[in-house]
Amino acid sequence: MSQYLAYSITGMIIFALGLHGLVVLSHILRKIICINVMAGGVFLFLISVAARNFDEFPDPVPQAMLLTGVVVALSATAFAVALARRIYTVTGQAELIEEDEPS
Amino acid sequence: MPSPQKVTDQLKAPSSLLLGLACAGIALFLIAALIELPDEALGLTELSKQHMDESGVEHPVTAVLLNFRAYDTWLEVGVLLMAVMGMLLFQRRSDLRDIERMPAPDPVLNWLIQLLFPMMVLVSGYLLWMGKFSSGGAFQAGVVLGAGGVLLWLAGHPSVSGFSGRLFRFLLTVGFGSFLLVAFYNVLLSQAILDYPVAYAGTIILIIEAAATISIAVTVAALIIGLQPVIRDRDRTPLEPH
Repeated sequence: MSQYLAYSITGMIIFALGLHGLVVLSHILRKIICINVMAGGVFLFLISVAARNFDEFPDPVPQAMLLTGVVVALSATAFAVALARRIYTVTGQAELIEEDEPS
Repeated sequence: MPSPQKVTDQLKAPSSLLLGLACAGIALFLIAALIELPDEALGLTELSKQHMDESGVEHPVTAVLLNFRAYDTWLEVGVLLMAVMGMLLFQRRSDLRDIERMPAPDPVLNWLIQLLFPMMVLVSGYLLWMGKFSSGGAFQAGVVLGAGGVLLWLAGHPSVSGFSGRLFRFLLTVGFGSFLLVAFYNVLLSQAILDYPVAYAGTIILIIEAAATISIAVTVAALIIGLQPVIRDRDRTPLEPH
């Protein structure tokens, strides 16, 4: 059992928590936050898994993916919020609920 | 139609229990897969180490980002560009000039901004330069500079909403464009698409990184400033619901 595994497993647990929130919660903003929580888990996994190939330096490829991923996640979140606002403007509600009665 | 406040995040008991179990199952499955991984693996560390001499920089992460896997970084800068384009499309505008500005700040905040903003520009420039030999580079530098832009805007300055449409679009695309220019030049010489000559690799990387920093900074600032709740006339009339 090596040290990086503790971080990787934590990352996976965070990912599953975010996934659970994404499926269960209906408010769009909450869903966006859940996707970010999931991304946090993946980032923790990537940065810890870089330590598996430690030579003179840890594996630079997962680190590079993480680095760009953080900025891309930030901008994707901003885009998602713009979409959410558009949905709110058009429909007047910010929840994704199952339609029980035909509208 | 139920009002937005009425619908809370209350869960139906059986389905939520089921979903919780399913997610716990996914977590266990992922953890089991992780434990299966061998501790020492033939990753890309060895390969990167062998080619560090030809990369033009001294830091392996920068070498991967801007040289070995430059294609990846290029497209990620493209993703940033698409996010900002998507946002502007939804808001039906091509720049942020019509956005309402924050009220003028009180003197203390103004003093703080005068102190902080030059520091942020300086830190950003240093991070960019540091990418050559240590942790740092375009993405970190761009985000610090972008945060500076947001700070300026919060204090009532125009920030990125002060740019004219043409300048705004130029700054947004200069990072993607610099990659494109290198690729175009290489295609003309029928070389590999993002292949830098070893002797000039360091310089080319620094130029591309500087351009990418500016683009990332403007993109991040524009995305955050563009999301501010500004009520304009075209927002007040919702589209016909179908």
